[in-house]
Amino acid sequence: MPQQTATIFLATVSGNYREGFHRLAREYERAHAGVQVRVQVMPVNGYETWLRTQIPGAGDRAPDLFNANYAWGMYEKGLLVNLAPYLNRRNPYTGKAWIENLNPQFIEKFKTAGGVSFIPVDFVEIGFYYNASLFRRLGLQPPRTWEGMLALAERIRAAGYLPFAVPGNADSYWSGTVGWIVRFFTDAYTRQWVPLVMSRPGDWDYDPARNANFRLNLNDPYNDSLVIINGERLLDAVRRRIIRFDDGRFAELYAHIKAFSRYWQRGFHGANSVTAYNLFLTQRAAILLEGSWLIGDLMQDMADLPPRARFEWGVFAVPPLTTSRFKVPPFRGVGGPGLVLGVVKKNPQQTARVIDFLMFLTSPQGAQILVDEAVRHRRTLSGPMLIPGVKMPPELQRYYRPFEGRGFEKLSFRGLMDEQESVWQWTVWAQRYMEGRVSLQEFLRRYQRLMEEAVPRVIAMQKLDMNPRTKDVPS
Amino acid sequence: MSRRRTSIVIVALMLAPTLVLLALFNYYPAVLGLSRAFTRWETGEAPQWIGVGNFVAMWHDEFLRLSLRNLFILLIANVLKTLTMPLLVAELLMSLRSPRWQYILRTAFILPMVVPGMVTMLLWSFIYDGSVGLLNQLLEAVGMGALARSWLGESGTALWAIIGIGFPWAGGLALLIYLAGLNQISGDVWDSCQVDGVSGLRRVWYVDLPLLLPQVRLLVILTLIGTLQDFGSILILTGGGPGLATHVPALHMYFQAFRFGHLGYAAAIGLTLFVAIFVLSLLNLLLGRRLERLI
Repeated sequence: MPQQTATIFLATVSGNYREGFHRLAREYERAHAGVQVRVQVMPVNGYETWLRTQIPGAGDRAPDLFNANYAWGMYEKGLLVNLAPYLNRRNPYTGKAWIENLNPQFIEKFKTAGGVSFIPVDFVEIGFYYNASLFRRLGLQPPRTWEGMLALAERIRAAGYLPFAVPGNADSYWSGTVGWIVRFFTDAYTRQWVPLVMSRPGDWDYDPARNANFRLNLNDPYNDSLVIINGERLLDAVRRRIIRFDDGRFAELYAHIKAFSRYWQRGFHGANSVTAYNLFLTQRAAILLEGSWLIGDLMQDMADLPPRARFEWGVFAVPPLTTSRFKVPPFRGVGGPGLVLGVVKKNPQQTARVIDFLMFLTSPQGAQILVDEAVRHRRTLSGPMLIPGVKMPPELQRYYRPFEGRGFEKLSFRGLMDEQESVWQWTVWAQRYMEGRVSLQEFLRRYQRLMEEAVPRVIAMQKLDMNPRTKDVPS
Repeated sequence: MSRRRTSIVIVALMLAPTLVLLALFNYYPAVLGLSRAFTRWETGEAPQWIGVGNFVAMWHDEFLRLSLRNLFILLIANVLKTLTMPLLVAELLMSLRSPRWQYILRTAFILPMVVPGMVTMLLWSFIYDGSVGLLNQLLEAVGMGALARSWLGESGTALWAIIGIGFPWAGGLALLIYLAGLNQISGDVWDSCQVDGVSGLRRVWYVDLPLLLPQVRLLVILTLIGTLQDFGSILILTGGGPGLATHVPALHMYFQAFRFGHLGYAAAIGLTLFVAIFVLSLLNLLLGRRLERLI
C-alpha cells in the first residue's frame, strides 16, 4: 500500500532565508518519508491580509507555520497553538529539552496571556546609523544624551546637511521609524505603571518566580523584563482612567517627539523607508534610525557605490533623555525576535508533525543552514541568531556587535494592546498633531478617547470577563 | 433531437462554466454582502443579525464622515477631468486634416493605457517624492524651488496630488469613447456648420456636445462608479494619510474588513456605496434623458 503523504506548509515573508528554508525542507523530507514540506516565500505587501483570510477560514489549506508577528490577535482568538507545553519536551534533533536550544529570555519576555504563541529564531534591534565620515569632518562624536543628539543635529543642519532621514507614512507609525520612536519614549515614560498592571497573587497568570519580588527600580533598565503584565488589569486601568493619555506625562512625551521632528526632512509623512535610506546613502542626511537588518544591504550598497561616494558609517544606541519634569529612565530602544514562527491550530496529528519540523528548524544544525544559505546567496541577515551554537562569519560579526539585544519595551500605547483599529486611529491623530493640524491638547483629548473606546473592542475580541483571576483566553 | 435544440444545448453547455463562475464569484459574494450588512460579523466568528446597527454606527463614524469631504472633491474633480481634457483632445484630433497624423497622435494618446495601473502609481509617487521627485526638480530648474514640497506627505497638497495623477488626463478610455462619438456625427452636420459660419468652440458647444450626450452620460456614470469604488491608488500612494487627508469611504471599508476584522460593518459601507452608485447613475440617466429631450 502506498504511503500517504502529509504536508507541512510554511508560508513566510522572510525572503532572506529563502534558500535556507528550501534546503531545510529537502533535508527534513529525506529523513521523514511520507512528509512533504511546502515552502512559500511571499511578499510582505498583502501578507497580513492573506493570513487574516487564510488562517480563520481556510481550514487545512491554511499555512501550518508562518511569521507570527504579522498576525497579532490571532493567538488570543484561539487560532494558534500554545507552544508552552512543548518547550520541555525532548527535541529529537538535539537530544535535549527543546527550550535548551532556544532563548528562554526572549520566550519569557514575549509571552502572550501566559502562553507562548511563537518560537523566535533570530532577533532584531534598532540603532542610529550615522555617517562617520561626515561626523569626522564636522568634528562630531556620537551623542551621549538625547539633548546632546539634538544639539548635534543643530550643528549638522548649520553645516548644510539634513540631520535625520525619517520615513513618516502610516506604515512607519505602526511598524517603522516613527512607531519605534513613540515606543521607546512611551516605554520610558510609562514604566512607573508596571507595578499597577502586573499580575498579582490570585491572578490566573501570576507567577511568583517572576512577580513576587519585583520592586520597580528605574535605575535598573531591565528589572521589569520578566514581570508578567495582566491584560485585564491594564484594560481596567485604562477604562477607569487610572492610566490617562491626556495628562502632563504624555504631553511632555509627545512635545519631545515633535521637537525631535524639527530635524527630520520636510514632508516626512510622504516618505517611506526607501526614501529615507536613499537620503542617508546619498549623504544628504547624516543619521538614519534603522534596524539591525540594514547591515547587509548597507554593506552591499556601499560596495556598489563609486569609491568617491562611499563613506564610513557606524551605529549608536538610542541615547538617554536627561531633562524631564518626570523621573524618566534611560531609553531601552526597540527590539525583539526577528523571525518568529507561529503554528496554526489544526488537528493533533498535524500539530505534532509541525512541531517536529519546527524542532528541526530551531536545532543548531537547522538554524546554521539558514545562516549559511543566507550568507552564500549574499542575502542580508535580520540580526544575530537566537539559537545557541549557530556561527556567523567573522566579517559580519563585527557589524552586528553594536546590537546586543538591549531593545525592549514593556508598555506601549500606540493604540491599545495592538488592536488595529485603535492603532490606525492613533496614527491618524498623531500625524495630524505632528503636522501641526491639531494642537497638542486636541491630540491628547482624541488619544484619550480612542483608547477608552478601544477597551470594549479588545474585551470582545479576546473574550475577556475582566476578572484577572480567571483565565479567559483559549489556549 | 432537432438541430435547433441541439444548438441550444451546446450554447447552454458552453455558457454554463462562465455562468457558474459568475454566480459563484460575483453574484453570490455580492448577495451575501447585502445580507451580511445587517449582521455583526467579525473575522473568525459567525455573523449575528443586528438589523440596522451597522448603519447607525456609520452615522456616528467620525472618520467615515470626514472621508466624505475627500470623496466629494474627488468626484467633482474626476468628472471635470473626464468631461474636459479627453473631449478637447478628441476635438483637436478630429480637426486634423491629415488622417495619417490623426492616426499617429491617436495611437500616442491611447498607448499609455497598456501601462499597468500599479506602474503608473509608482511612477507618480516618484514624481511627487519630496526628496528626489521629478516635480520638485522641475520647480527648482525653473527657479520656483520655494514651491517644492513632499506633495503626498502634506495634508494641504496630498489630495490634490492624487487628483493630479495622469496629468494632462487626456488619454485612455474617455478619449476613445469621445472619438467614437465624434466619428458617428455625420460629415453633413459639420458641412452645414461650416456653411452657417459656426466653427471652433461654438460648434463644439452647440453641435458636438449635444450630439455627444450619450457618451458624456456613459462617461459620467463610469467616473462616478470608478471614483466611489476606487481606493487602490490611495492605498498605494498615501494609505489615506497624512492623517485623514486622502481617506475615502471605499478605503474605510477596506480597512474595516481586512485590517480591523469588522466584516459586517464593511459590508454595510459596501451596501451604502452600492446604493449611492445606483442612485447617482439613475439621476445621471434621468437628467441626461431630460436634457436630450430638451435639445
